[in-house]
Amino acid sequence: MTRVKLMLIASVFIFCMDLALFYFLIVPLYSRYRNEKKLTAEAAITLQTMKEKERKVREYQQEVKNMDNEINEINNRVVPSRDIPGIFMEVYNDILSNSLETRSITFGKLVDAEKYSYFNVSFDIYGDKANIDNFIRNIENNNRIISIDSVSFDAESDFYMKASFVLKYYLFKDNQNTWDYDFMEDKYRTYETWYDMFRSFES
Amino acid sequence: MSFLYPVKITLSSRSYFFTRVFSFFSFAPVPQSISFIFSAFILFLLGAVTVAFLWVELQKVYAKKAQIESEINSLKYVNEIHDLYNNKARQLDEKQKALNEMVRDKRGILDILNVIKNCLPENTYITDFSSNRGETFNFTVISPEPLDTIKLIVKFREPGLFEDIDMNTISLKNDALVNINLKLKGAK
Repeated sequence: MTRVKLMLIASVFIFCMDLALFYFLIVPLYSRYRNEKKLTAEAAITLQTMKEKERKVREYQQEVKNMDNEINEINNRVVPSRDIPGIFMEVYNDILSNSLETRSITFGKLVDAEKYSYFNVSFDIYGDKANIDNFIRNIENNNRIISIDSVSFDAESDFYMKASFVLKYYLFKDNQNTWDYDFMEDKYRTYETWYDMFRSFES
Repeated sequence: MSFLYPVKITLSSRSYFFTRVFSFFSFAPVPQSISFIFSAFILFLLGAVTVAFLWVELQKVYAKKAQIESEINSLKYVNEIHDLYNNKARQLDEKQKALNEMVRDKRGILDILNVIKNCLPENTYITDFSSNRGETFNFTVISPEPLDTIKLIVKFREPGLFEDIDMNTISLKNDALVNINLKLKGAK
Protein backbone atom coordinates (compact mmCIF):
# COMPACT_ATOMS: atom_id res chain seq x y z
CA MET A 1 0.00 0.00 0.00
CA THR A 2 1.36 3.36 -0.92
CA ARG A 3 1.74 6.16 1.56
CA VAL A 4 -0.98 8.16 -0.23
CA LYS A 5 -3.48 5.35 0.21
CA LEU A 6 -2.56 5.08 3.86
CA MET A 7 -3.08 8.77 4.27
CA LEU A 8 -6.43 8.60 2.54
CA ILE A 9 -7.51 5.72 4.75
CA ALA A 10 -6.30 7.70 7.78
CA SER A 11 -8.25 10.78 6.61
CA VAL A 12 -11.44 8.71 6.22
CA PHE A 13 -10.82 7.20 9.66
CA ILE A 14 -10.30 10.62 11.25
CA PHE A 15 -13.44 11.95 9.55
CA CYS A 16 -15.32 9.01 11.00
CA MET A 17 -13.83 9.85 14.36
CA ASP A 18 -14.94 13.46 13.86
CA LEU A 19 -18.48 12.29 13.18
CA ALA A 20 -18.42 9.95 16.18
CA LEU A 21 -17.05 12.79 18.28
CA PHE A 22 -19.84 15.03 17.11
CA TYR A 23 -22.70 12.58 17.55
CA PHE A 24 -21.57 10.68 20.63
CA LEU A 25 -19.84 13.38 22.64
CA ILE A 26 -20.56 16.91 21.49
CA VAL A 27 -24.30 16.49 20.90
CA PRO A 28 -25.08 14.69 24.21
CA LEU A 29 -22.70 16.94 26.13
CA TYR A 30 -24.28 20.06 24.68
CA SER A 31 -27.75 18.76 25.31
CA ARG A 32 -26.83 17.98 28.93
CA TYR A 33 -25.20 21.39 29.24
CA ARG A 34 -28.35 23.09 27.98
CA ASN A 35 -30.52 21.02 30.27
CA GLU A 36 -28.36 21.72 33.32
CA LYS A 37 -28.22 25.39 32.45
CA LYS A 38 -32.01 25.47 32.28
CA LEU A 39 -32.32 23.64 35.62
CA THR A 40 -29.79 26.03 37.16
CA ALA A 41 -31.74 29.01 35.87
CA GLU A 42 -34.92 27.57 37.38
CA ALA A 43 -33.13 26.90 40.66
CA ALA A 44 -31.84 30.48 40.60
CA ILE A 45 -35.41 31.77 40.21
CA THR A 46 -36.52 29.53 43.10
CA LEU A 47 -33.64 30.85 45.18
CA GLN A 48 -34.57 34.41 44.32
CA THR A 49 -38.18 33.78 45.36
CA MET A 50 -37.00 32.17 48.59
CA LYS A 51 -34.70 35.07 49.33
CA GLU A 52 -37.63 37.43 48.83
CA LYS A 53 -39.67 35.26 51.18
CA GLU A 54 -36.79 35.23 53.66
CA ARG A 55 -36.88 39.02 53.80
CA LYS A 56 -40.52 38.70 54.85
CA VAL A 57 -39.99 35.79 57.21
CA ARG A 58 -40.44 37.89 60.35
CA GLU A 59 -43.58 39.36 58.87
CA TYR A 60 -44.88 35.84 58.17
CA GLN A 61 -43.98 34.67 61.68
CA GLN A 62 -45.81 37.63 63.17
CA GLU A 63 -48.77 37.00 60.88
CA VAL A 64 -48.85 33.32 61.89
CA LYS A 65 -48.86 34.42 65.54
CA ASN A 66 -51.70 36.87 64.90
CA MET A 67 -53.66 34.27 62.97
CA ASP A 68 -53.16 31.75 65.80
CA ASN A 69 -54.61 34.28 68.22
CA GLU A 70 -57.53 34.95 65.89
CA ILE A 71 -58.16 31.22 65.47
CA ASN A 72 -58.10 30.77 69.25
CA GLU A 73 -60.54 33.63 69.66
CA ILE A 74 -62.84 32.11 67.04
CA ASN A 75 -62.51 28.68 68.67
CA ASN A 76 -63.58 30.21 71.97
CA ARG A 77 -66.82 31.42 70.36
CA VAL A 78 -68.08 27.83 70.24
CA VAL A 79 -67.96 24.84 72.58
CA PRO A 80 -64.76 22.80 72.22
CA SER A 81 -66.67 19.55 71.65
CA ARG A 82 -69.97 17.82 72.42
CA ASP A 83 -68.84 17.05 75.93
CA ILE A 84 -71.82 16.30 78.15
CA PRO A 85 -70.11 16.91 81.55
CA GLY A 86 -68.66 20.24 80.39
CA ILE A 87 -71.87 21.56 78.83
CA PHE A 88 -74.03 20.24 81.66
CA MET A 89 -71.95 22.11 84.23
CA GLU A 90 -72.08 25.34 82.19
CA VAL A 91 -75.86 25.23 81.76
CA TYR A 92 -76.49 24.02 85.30
CA ASN A 93 -74.26 26.72 86.82
CA ASP A 94 -76.09 29.34 84.77
CA ILE A 95 -79.45 28.04 85.98
CA LEU A 96 -78.31 27.97 89.62
CA SER A 97 -76.65 31.37 89.50
CA ASN A 98 -80.02 32.85 88.45
CA SER A 99 -81.86 31.11 91.32
CA LEU A 100 -83.81 28.94 88.90
CA GLU A 101 -84.69 25.26 89.08
CA THR A 102 -84.52 22.47 86.59
CA ARG A 103 -85.27 18.76 86.65
CA SER A 104 -83.30 17.42 83.75
CA ILE A 105 -81.18 18.47 80.82
CA THR A 106 -81.34 16.50 77.57
CA PHE A 107 -78.55 16.40 75.02
CA GLY A 108 -79.27 15.89 71.33
CA LYS A 109 -77.05 14.09 68.89
CA LEU A 110 -74.30 15.80 66.94
CA VAL A 111 -75.55 16.94 63.52
CA ASP A 112 -73.33 17.97 60.62
CA ALA A 113 -74.30 21.12 58.72
CA GLU A 114 -72.35 22.26 55.66
CA LYS A 115 -69.72 24.34 57.43
CA TYR A 116 -70.18 23.46 61.09
CA SER A 117 -71.69 20.88 63.43
CA TYR A 118 -74.29 21.42 66.12
CA PHE A 119 -76.31 19.70 68.79
CA ASN A 120 -79.35 20.66 70.84
CA VAL A 121 -79.65 20.92 74.59
CA SER A 122 -83.20 21.01 75.94
CA PHE A 123 -84.46 21.66 79.45
CA ASP A 124 -87.23 23.33 81.44
CA ILE A 125 -86.54 25.95 84.05
CA TYR A 126 -88.80 27.24 86.74
CA GLY A 127 -88.52 30.44 88.71
CA ASP A 128 -89.00 34.15 89.01
CA LYS A 129 -89.83 35.94 85.71
CA ALA A 130 -87.02 38.47 86.18
CA ASN A 131 -84.55 35.65 86.79
CA ILE A 132 -85.69 33.90 83.62
CA ASP A 133 -85.18 37.18 81.75
CA ASN A 134 -81.68 37.37 83.19
CA PHE A 135 -81.01 33.76 82.20
CA ILE A 136 -82.05 34.51 78.59
CA ARG A 137 -79.88 37.64 78.58
CA ASN A 138 -76.91 35.53 79.69
CA ILE A 139 -77.50 33.13 76.81
CA GLU A 140 -77.96 35.85 74.21
CA ASN A 141 -74.95 37.86 75.37
CA ASN A 142 -72.71 34.86 75.93
CA ASN A 143 -69.38 35.02 74.10
CA ARG A 144 -70.20 31.54 72.85
CA ILE A 145 -72.64 31.43 69.98
CA ILE A 146 -75.73 29.73 71.39
CA SER A 147 -79.00 29.89 69.51
CA ILE A 148 -82.37 29.77 71.23
CA ASP A 149 -83.87 27.39 68.72
CA SER A 150 -87.22 27.16 70.42
CA VAL A 151 -88.62 28.53 73.61
CA SER A 152 -91.94 28.45 75.39
CA PHE A 153 -93.18 30.27 78.46
CA ASP A 154 -95.97 29.32 80.77
CA ALA A 155 -96.97 31.85 83.40
CA GLU A 156 -97.76 29.79 86.47
CA SER A 157 -98.44 32.82 88.68
CA ASP A 158 -97.89 36.56 88.49
CA PHE A 159 -94.22 36.12 89.38
CA TYR A 160 -93.46 32.49 88.75
CA MET A 161 -92.97 31.11 85.27
CA LYS A 162 -91.95 27.90 83.53
CA ALA A 163 -89.73 28.27 80.50
CA SER A 164 -88.75 25.44 78.16
CA PHE A 165 -85.71 25.83 75.96
CA VAL A 166 -84.10 24.08 73.08
CA LEU A 167 -80.67 25.62 72.76
CA LYS A 168 -78.47 25.01 69.77
CA TYR A 169 -74.74 24.70 70.46
CA TYR A 170 -72.37 25.09 67.54
CA LEU A 171 -68.93 23.66 67.03
CA PHE A 172 -66.35 23.56 64.28
CA LYS A 173 -65.93 20.34 62.39
CA ASP A 174 -62.19 20.19 63.00
CA ASN A 175 -62.46 21.30 66.59
CA GLN A 176 -62.10 18.43 68.99
CA ASN A 177 -60.42 20.27 71.83
CA THR A 178 -60.77 19.05 75.37
CA TRP A 179 -62.61 20.85 78.11
CA ASP A 180 -61.03 22.39 81.13
CA TYR A 181 -63.06 20.99 84.00
CA ASP A 182 -63.10 23.00 87.19
CA PHE A 183 -65.26 20.59 89.18
CA MET A 184 -62.94 17.59 89.49
CA GLU A 185 -61.33 18.39 92.82
CA ASP A 186 -62.97 15.81 95.16
CA LYS A 187 -61.25 12.82 96.69
CA TYR A 188 -61.42 9.45 94.94
CA ARG A 189 -60.58 5.85 95.87
CA THR A 190 -61.90 6.24 99.43
CA TYR A 191 -63.00 2.57 99.71
CA GLU A 192 -60.48 0.00 100.81
CA THR A 193 -62.00 -2.91 98.88
CA TRP A 194 -64.41 -3.17 96.00
CA TYR A 195 -67.25 -4.60 98.13
CA ASP A 196 -67.19 -1.60 100.47
CA MET A 197 -68.74 0.44 97.70
CA PHE A 198 -72.03 -1.55 97.88
CA ARG A 199 -74.76 -0.22 100.20
CA SER A 200 -78.51 -0.68 100.29
CA PHE A 201 -80.60 2.29 99.17
CA GLU A 202 -82.40 2.49 102.56
CA SER A 203 -79.22 2.71 104.62
CA MET B 1 9.57 12.60 -3.08
CA SER B 2 7.38 10.36 -5.23
CA PHE B 3 4.32 11.04 -3.06
CA LEU B 4 4.20 14.60 -4.40
CA TYR B 5 3.13 13.26 -7.84
CA PRO B 6 -0.19 11.73 -8.91
CA VAL B 7 -0.40 8.02 -8.22
CA LYS B 8 -2.53 5.58 -10.14
CA ILE B 9 -4.19 2.58 -8.45
CA THR B 10 -4.47 -0.47 -10.65
CA LEU B 11 -7.72 -2.47 -10.74
CA SER B 12 -5.91 -5.74 -10.52
CA SER B 13 -4.23 -5.09 -7.15
CA ARG B 14 -7.33 -4.12 -5.03
CA SER B 15 -10.97 -4.99 -4.70
CA TYR B 16 -13.53 -3.16 -6.74
CA PHE B 17 -14.86 -1.18 -3.73
CA PHE B 18 -11.52 0.25 -2.74
CA THR B 19 -10.78 0.86 -6.33
CA ARG B 20 -13.94 2.95 -6.66
CA VAL B 21 -13.34 4.84 -3.42
CA PHE B 22 -9.73 5.61 -4.19
CA SER B 23 -10.24 6.17 -7.85
CA PHE B 24 -11.47 9.64 -6.99
CA PHE B 25 -8.20 10.39 -5.25
CA SER B 26 -6.07 8.43 -7.59
CA PHE B 27 -5.26 11.34 -9.80
CA ALA B 28 -5.25 13.84 -6.94
CA PRO B 29 -1.93 15.36 -6.15
CA VAL B 30 -0.27 14.32 -2.94
CA PRO B 31 -0.68 17.73 -1.25
CA GLN B 32 -4.46 17.25 -1.63
CA SER B 33 -4.24 13.98 0.34
CA ILE B 34 -2.30 15.83 2.98
CA SER B 35 -4.89 18.55 3.04
CA PHE B 36 -7.62 15.91 3.59
CA ILE B 37 -5.90 14.34 6.51
CA PHE B 38 -4.93 17.76 7.83
CA SER B 39 -8.48 19.12 7.66
CA ALA B 40 -9.83 15.90 9.24
CA PHE B 41 -7.28 16.25 12.00
CA ILE B 42 -8.09 19.94 12.49
CA LEU B 43 -11.76 19.02 12.62
CA PHE B 44 -10.98 16.39 15.21
CA LEU B 45 -8.96 18.91 17.20
CA LEU B 46 -11.79 21.41 16.99
CA GLY B 47 -14.20 18.71 18.16
CA ALA B 48 -11.89 17.82 21.04
CA VAL B 49 -11.57 21.48 22.02
CA THR B 50 -15.35 21.84 21.85
CA VAL B 51 -15.77 18.76 24.03
CA ALA B 52 -13.24 20.14 26.51
CA PHE B 53 -14.93 23.53 26.49
CA LEU B 54 -18.37 21.97 26.99
CA TRP B 55 -17.08 19.75 29.77
CA VAL B 56 -15.52 22.71 31.58
CA GLU B 57 -18.71 24.74 31.14
CA LEU B 58 -20.77 21.81 32.34
CA GLN B 59 -18.60 21.53 35.44
CA LYS B 60 -19.12 25.24 36.07
CA VAL B 61 -22.87 24.83 35.67
CA TYR B 62 -22.79 21.80 38.02
CA ALA B 63 -20.86 23.82 40.58
CA LYS B 64 -23.23 26.77 40.30
CA LYS B 65 -26.24 24.48 40.55
CA ALA B 66 -24.81 22.75 43.61
CA GLN B 67 -24.17 26.12 45.21
CA ILE B 68 -27.73 27.29 44.46
CA GLU B 69 -29.15 24.01 45.76
CA SER B 70 -27.16 24.29 48.97
CA GLU B 71 -28.46 27.86 49.39
CA ILE B 72 -32.00 26.62 48.70
CA ASN B 73 -31.52 23.87 51.31
CA SER B 74 -30.32 26.41 53.85
CA LEU B 75 -33.49 28.44 53.16
CA LYS B 76 -35.89 25.50 53.38
CA TYR B 77 -37.17 26.75 56.74
CA VAL B 78 -38.50 29.81 54.86
CA ASN B 79 -40.70 27.55 52.78
CA GLU B 80 -41.88 25.75 55.90
CA ILE B 81 -42.84 29.08 57.47
CA HIS B 82 -44.50 30.16 54.25
CA ASP B 83 -46.47 26.89 54.07
CA LEU B 84 -47.46 27.31 57.70
CA TYR B 85 -48.58 30.86 56.93
CA ASN B 86 -50.68 29.65 53.98
CA ASN B 87 -52.22 26.83 56.03
CA LYS B 88 -53.08 29.18 58.88
CA ALA B 89 -54.58 31.70 56.46
CA ARG B 90 -56.73 28.96 54.92
CA GLN B 91 -57.73 27.62 58.33
CA LEU B 92 -58.63 31.11 59.55
CA ASP B 93 -60.67 31.78 56.43
CA GLU B 94 -62.62 28.53 56.82
CA LYS B 95 -63.23 29.22 60.52
CA GLN B 96 -64.35 32.77 59.79
CA LYS B 97 -66.79 31.56 57.14
CA ALA B 98 -68.18 28.88 59.47
CA LEU B 99 -68.49 31.45 62.27
CA ASN B 100 -70.39 33.84 59.99
CA GLU B 101 -72.77 31.01 59.10
CA MET B 102 -73.32 30.27 62.80
CA VAL B 103 -73.99 33.95 63.57
CA ARG B 104 -76.49 34.04 60.68
CA ASP B 105 -78.19 30.91 62.02
CA LYS B 106 -78.26 32.08 65.64
CA ARG B 107 -81.67 33.00 67.01
CA GLY B 108 -82.59 35.11 70.02
CA ILE B 109 -85.93 35.84 71.62
CA LEU B 110 -85.70 39.00 73.76
CA ASP B 111 -85.97 41.48 70.86
CA ILE B 112 -89.15 39.85 69.58
CA LEU B 113 -90.59 39.62 73.10
CA ASN B 114 -90.05 43.35 73.48
CA VAL B 115 -91.76 44.02 70.14
CA ILE B 116 -94.73 41.89 71.20
CA LYS B 117 -94.78 43.62 74.60
CA ASN B 118 -95.04 47.01 72.91
CA CYS B 119 -97.98 45.84 70.81
CA LEU B 120 -100.12 44.69 73.73
CA PRO B 121 -102.92 47.13 74.71
CA GLU B 122 -103.22 47.98 78.39
CA ASN B 123 -104.56 45.23 80.67
CA THR B 124 -103.99 42.46 78.13
CA TYR B 125 -101.75 39.59 79.26
CA ILE B 126 -100.07 36.59 77.75
CA THR B 127 -100.59 33.28 79.54
CA ASP B 128 -98.38 31.09 77.44
CA PHE B 129 -95.98 31.65 74.61
CA SER B 130 -93.91 29.49 72.33
CA SER B 131 -91.48 30.28 69.57
CA ASN B 132 -89.85 28.11 66.99
CA ARG B 133 -86.51 29.16 65.44
CA GLY B 134 -87.38 32.77 66.35
CA GLU B 135 -89.60 32.85 63.27
CA THR B 136 -93.03 31.67 64.36
CA PHE B 137 -94.69 32.67 67.61
CA ASN B 138 -97.75 31.19 69.14
CA PHE B 139 -99.28 32.71 72.25
CA THR B 140 -102.50 33.08 74.17
CA VAL B 141 -103.63 36.54 75.19
CA ILE B 142 -106.27 37.41 77.77
CA SER B 143 -108.16 40.19 76.05
CA PRO B 144 -110.31 42.26 78.44
CA GLU B 145 -112.67 43.43 75.66
CA PRO B 146 -113.27 42.50 71.98
CA LEU B 147 -111.93 45.94 71.01
CA ASP B 148 -108.59 45.00 72.57
CA THR B 149 -108.38 41.98 70.26
CA ILE B 150 -109.00 44.24 67.25
CA LYS B 151 -106.41 46.73 68.51
CA LEU B 152 -103.98 43.88 68.93
CA ILE B 153 -104.37 42.74 65.32
CA VAL B 154 -103.84 46.29 64.02
CA LYS B 155 -100.90 46.89 66.38
CA PHE B 156 -99.06 43.79 65.18
CA ARG B 157 -99.08 45.27 61.66
CA GLU B 158 -97.17 48.35 62.81
CA PRO B 159 -93.64 47.05 63.23
CA GLY B 160 -93.84 45.55 59.73
CA LEU B 161 -92.11 42.45 61.06
CA PHE B 162 -94.93 39.95 60.93
CA GLU B 163 -97.27 38.58 58.35
CA ASP B 164 -100.87 39.67 58.88
CA ILE B 165 -102.80 37.74 61.54
CA ASP B 166 -105.43 35.49 60.07
CA MET B 167 -108.24 35.36 62.65
CA ASN B 168 -111.58 33.96 61.53
CA THR B 169 -113.59 34.35 64.72
CA ILE B 170 -113.37 37.15 67.24
CA SER B 171 -115.01 36.44 70.55
CA LEU B 172 -117.30 39.11 71.89
CA LYS B 173 -116.79 37.92 75.47
CA ASN B 174 -114.86 39.99 77.94
CA ASP B 175 -111.60 38.47 79.23
CA ALA B 176 -111.55 36.10 76.28
CA LEU B 177 -108.55 33.84 75.63
CA VAL B 178 -107.29 34.75 72.16
CA ASN B 179 -104.80 32.46 70.45
CA ILE B 180 -102.44 34.32 68.18
CA ASN B 181 -100.02 32.89 65.64
CA LEU B 182 -97.40 35.28 64.37
CA LYS B 183 -94.96 34.59 61.63
CA LEU B 184 -91.98 36.71 60.73
CA LYS B 185 -92.14 38.08 57.20
CA GLY B 186 -89.98 35.98 54.92
CA ALA B 187 -89.90 33.01 57.32
CA LYS B 188 -90.39 29.58 55.75
